[in-house]
Amino acid sequence: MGVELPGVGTKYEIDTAGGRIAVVFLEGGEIQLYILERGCEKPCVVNLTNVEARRLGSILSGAIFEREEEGVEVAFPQISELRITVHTYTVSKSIAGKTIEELKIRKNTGVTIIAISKEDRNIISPSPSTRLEEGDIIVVIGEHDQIRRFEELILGR
Amino acid sequence: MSDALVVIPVATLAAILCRKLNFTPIPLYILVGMLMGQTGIIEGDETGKFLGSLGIVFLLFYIGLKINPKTLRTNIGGIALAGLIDFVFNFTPAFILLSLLGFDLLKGFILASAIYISSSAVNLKLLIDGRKLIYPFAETVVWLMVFEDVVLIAILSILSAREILSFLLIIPLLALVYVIYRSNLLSGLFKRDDEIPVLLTFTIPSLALLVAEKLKLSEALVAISLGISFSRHGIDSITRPFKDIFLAIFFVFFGTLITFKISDFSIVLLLAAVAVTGKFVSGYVIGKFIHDSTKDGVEIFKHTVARGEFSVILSSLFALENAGIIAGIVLFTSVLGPILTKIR
Repeated sequence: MGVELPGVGTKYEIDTAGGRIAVVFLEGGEIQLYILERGCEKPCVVNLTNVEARRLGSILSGAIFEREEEGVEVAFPQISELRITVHTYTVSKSIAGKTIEELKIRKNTGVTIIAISKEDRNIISPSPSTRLEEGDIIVVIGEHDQIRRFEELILGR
Repeated sequence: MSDALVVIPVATLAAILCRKLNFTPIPLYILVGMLMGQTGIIEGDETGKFLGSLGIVFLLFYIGLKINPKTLRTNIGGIALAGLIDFVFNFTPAFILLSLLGFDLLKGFILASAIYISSSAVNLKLLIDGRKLIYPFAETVVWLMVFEDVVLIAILSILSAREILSFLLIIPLLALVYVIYRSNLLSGLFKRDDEIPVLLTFTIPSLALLVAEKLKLSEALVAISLGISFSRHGIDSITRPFKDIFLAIFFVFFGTLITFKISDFSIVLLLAAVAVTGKFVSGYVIGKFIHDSTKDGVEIFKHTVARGEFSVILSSLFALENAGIIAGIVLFTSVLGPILTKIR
């Protein structure tokens, strides 16, 4: 449904009751977001970067709590060889309903769950008896290899 | 001292100044070129000429890269009517007038082509910076520019065909385009992360110059054909920096070659008037027939009136002695277009 505009980019349009919205992915990488309210002559236009556009997209699709999982690696300049990975995961059906203790996460993989984002609240340093529910976002900390083991053993990936 | 050493910094300054003012640099490139040519700062040496001809092949190679035969096939039907209106109202009056003024058929054809063809660089930038892309007329303008590219290929073929041998070479050239386009020739080399993709991307348009000289074909035609052949490899981002540099040099150098005669002045005015009126009428008719809106027609006029790179290239390749006339029309229309779009 995109309209090819050679030399400019690709345009996507939606006509709504209130007016017209157009998104143009320019060839330079920038994104133009147009909103033309019905009855208006001139559109409002905002230029977005790639990251901003993706953020807007996830808000609009209502998927803010299902955002992509992401990980960061932290290294401290004063402590050589210490690299810590922090990673977020969304709790899937396979492990939902169990507590951290029941899953034996620390014992089997070495990683620690440092926070859980539930629908209505965030829990920092959850106790072992905290029950995981489907859709929770957990923040996991550990070494790179431990994180990989966590993905394999607990999440079954 | 080599001309290029003067031309490059001057072109850079001109570009910075124009972009700061949100204006196309093309007219200023030509003006500073004229200034440096008239004052004798630049005498026109071989290096300048060579770098300028690289500007032509790199631009046309880049245009070719952007022509995606697949999207072209699906969209050309929708734009053909608008494209033909644009051609009829802009080529024909100029051609008739030039004949009446005493130009021979060939010169008339070349100059009328240069007057007909709008500047993609100036007009597309106006659409993006002016934030007009939401309007349906913007799509029409973008595809008109593509249609004009296709007409340009036809014009270049005709101008190449003056020698019967060259004409016969066009058919194998087109076949070669098709074969390379369908095959995955060199695609592995374009994907490497060393210097190979850049070197290769530089080599192909440069080869166009060599091939064109040996085969007596127009280098512009060879370059645009090669561009289409390699349009599936995503090398436009590598090509762009080369195109930007050499094209700037080309415009300035073109300016240095212009010897402006006072006697040309009235012809420039007359042809510029025809050039502006032509795009006004074609824009109006296209707006009326395709968008059912004369207001859109006026917008199409404002966003197609500017002539630029293609007019200069046609004049530089085929009608250098009339460079002053074409430069005059380009200067006038490429300044008029941006000004008109800023007036509501």
